[in-house]
Amino acid sequence: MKNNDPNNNTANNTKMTPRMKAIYENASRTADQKLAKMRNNVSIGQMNSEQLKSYSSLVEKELYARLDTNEQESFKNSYAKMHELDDVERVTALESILRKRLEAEKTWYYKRSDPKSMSNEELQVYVRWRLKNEKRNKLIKTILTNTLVAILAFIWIIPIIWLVCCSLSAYSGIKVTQFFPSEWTFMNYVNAFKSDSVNQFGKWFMNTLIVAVCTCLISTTFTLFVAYATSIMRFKMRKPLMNIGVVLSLFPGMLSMIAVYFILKTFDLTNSHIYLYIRHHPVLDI
Amino acid sequence: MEANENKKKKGKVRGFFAAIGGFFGDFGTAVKKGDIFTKLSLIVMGAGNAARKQWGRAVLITIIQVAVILMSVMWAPQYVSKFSTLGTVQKADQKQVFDMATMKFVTDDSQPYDHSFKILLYCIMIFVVWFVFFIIWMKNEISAYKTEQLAKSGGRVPKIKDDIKSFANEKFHITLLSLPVTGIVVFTIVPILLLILVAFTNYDQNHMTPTYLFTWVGFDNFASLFGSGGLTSSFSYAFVRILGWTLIWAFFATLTNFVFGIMLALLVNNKRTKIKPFWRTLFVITIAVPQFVSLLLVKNFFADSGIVNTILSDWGVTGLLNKWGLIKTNFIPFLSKPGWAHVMIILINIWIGIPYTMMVTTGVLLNLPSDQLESARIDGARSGQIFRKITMPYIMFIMGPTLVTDFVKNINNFNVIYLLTEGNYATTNQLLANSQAKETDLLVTWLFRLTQDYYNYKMASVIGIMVFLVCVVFTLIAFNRFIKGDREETFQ
Repeated sequence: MKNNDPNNNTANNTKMTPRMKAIYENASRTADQKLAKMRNNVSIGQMNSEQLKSYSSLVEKELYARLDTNEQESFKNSYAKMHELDDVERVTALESILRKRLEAEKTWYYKRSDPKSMSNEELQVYVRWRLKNEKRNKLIKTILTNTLVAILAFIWIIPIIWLVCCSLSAYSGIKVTQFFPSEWTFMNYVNAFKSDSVNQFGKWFMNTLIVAVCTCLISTTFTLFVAYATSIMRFKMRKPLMNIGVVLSLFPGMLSMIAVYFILKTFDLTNSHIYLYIRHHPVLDI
Repeated sequence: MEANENKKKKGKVRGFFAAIGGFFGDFGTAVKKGDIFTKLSLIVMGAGNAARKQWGRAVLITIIQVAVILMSVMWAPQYVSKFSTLGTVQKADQKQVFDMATMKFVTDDSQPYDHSFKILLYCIMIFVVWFVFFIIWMKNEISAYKTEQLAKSGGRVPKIKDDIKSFANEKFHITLLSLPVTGIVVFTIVPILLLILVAFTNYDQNHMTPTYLFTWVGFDNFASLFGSGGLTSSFSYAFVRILGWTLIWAFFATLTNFVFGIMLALLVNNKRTKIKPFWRTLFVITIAVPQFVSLLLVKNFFADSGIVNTILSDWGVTGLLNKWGLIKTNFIPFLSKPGWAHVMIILINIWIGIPYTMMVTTGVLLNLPSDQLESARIDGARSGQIFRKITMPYIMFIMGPTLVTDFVKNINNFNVIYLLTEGNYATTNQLLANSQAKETDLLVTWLFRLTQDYYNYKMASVIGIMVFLVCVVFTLIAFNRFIKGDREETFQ
């Protein structure tokens, strides 16, 4: 993904003062990274007693600087208890408190929504930091969005996949224990083009074609007629006619279908295609 | 503003009646002030035309008149005379004769008998023809008077050629609409009238034509639907239950499809989503498979011994639910127990319906006014603000009215309910079973079962009228409340 935003490159192009650089680095580092730098990338377990002592005092200093007076008081109390612990445990405990502080500090410093109160240098750093963060957030968001769409699409096509699987299955019914058939076959498709006395697929295909073509022609013509007359032309009965169309559509079609069946039965027209051609409601198809 | 609108509405209604009144007024004037020939065309409809030498019109109108009179005299009386009783001679009461071919006693077909349904149907058709003829008769009188005035003032009297020409020009709408309107009258209005009348008869499995007769019973069927005791009291119970579920279903089906459809469209058309056409196609594939097929498939998917149950019991989910006491069976009754079935139907309907909403919304989103979006962005609007202030109002403007039609469509959504529950859902509620209903039925599926399996046409017709009334009420409320005015104004 290309980002042509000119601001994006300023972090590398313009010259940074040492202070700006320090703030920038400080801001972009996570709490863990900061702590690792303070330890010179040596883990607490590997330190000798001297290193441990200097690290401990460094952590104490950093932590102390971040506490207000009340907190300093309570910290002193708990610190007294800590002397019972051995050095490694004490430093680990101190470090974890400092980590929490650093994390909170970062959130507080860079997510506060009022950049007006920042100094000029801070502001520049802030902008760079935001840009970098946004790029990463964008990537995360893109991945999340696409994953979500993919999951949804997958849910949507499961039944369709199953449909295809069933059609390719050698098992003659619907198999309920397995999603994919144990035996694959194309015979079902071959059979669909063969006709016997029970399954007259050829005739059914023809029926479908005839009904589809005739319905299409008739309903399109009628709809065109009605649509042209009601939308282009202006005549006295236009509005009432359209209202009547809406009211008629509210009557359950199922019921009038049954009635039409009886009407056709009375005229001996059942088992013919005629109703299929005319069932479309031209006024409502507009 | 509202008063103004009310006035407009009242004006519309008044205008409608004024038009009818004007029509009768014209007719009255024509009868009163017309000369002898105009008056004569009340009896011989071609008289007025013939007097003004409009021979073509005169011949045509005479043919129509003769045809209608012949029909009314020769054919109509045998049916219309029996309209009040719907027949008296029952086929079943007639003498039984021994049929040598089948070795059985059958009723004697050679004797005349009454066919109640035929009588009802033909009577309606005759009434429709008479009604149309009545209007033609009045129109003819008015036009005879107009032609008389025209002839008196020395104007050119239109000949049949001019009439034909006018049907291609200023009366072109009549040419266009005549066929469709005839189709609607024959295949929609006549059936509806028929069904409305059947609701006032006792046409059911004990009165099946042609063997038995049915007759008028007044408002008895409506009374049994609204609970007037007796054996049919279960009908009123079933009606209330089913009406309740129908409305709940329609509400949730419409709302879920609308909300989730828009959400899906926003997700798929998001600027971060890659290969949009591909995702869109995947969702639309479900539309390509006919509902008839996909719903039966989904029904098997969630059947009591279906694949989902098999998989879930393999994973131990069924056992867990059983242990928690959520189910009492060794399968999950997705579509076979009330509650479960209701929720599943709405969920499956989401699967069915969302792609449609997504497609429509995608169309709307692609047509968003880009100048507005751009100026909003320049003014510093956040994406949330743009969505709330521009995108959503625009979608609602276009799709709001479809909410109403969707609601009505869902009230009559036969496919989803019938295909998902028929065959695997049996009610344990005795009162519902008495009236051939199930907890998951909509009014239309109940109506369908009543007619298809139990031949209870009278109750089906009453329910049909009720469905119609429910739909009308909701449509009227919605169109008056939410969609003000004619919507011909543009999006603001």
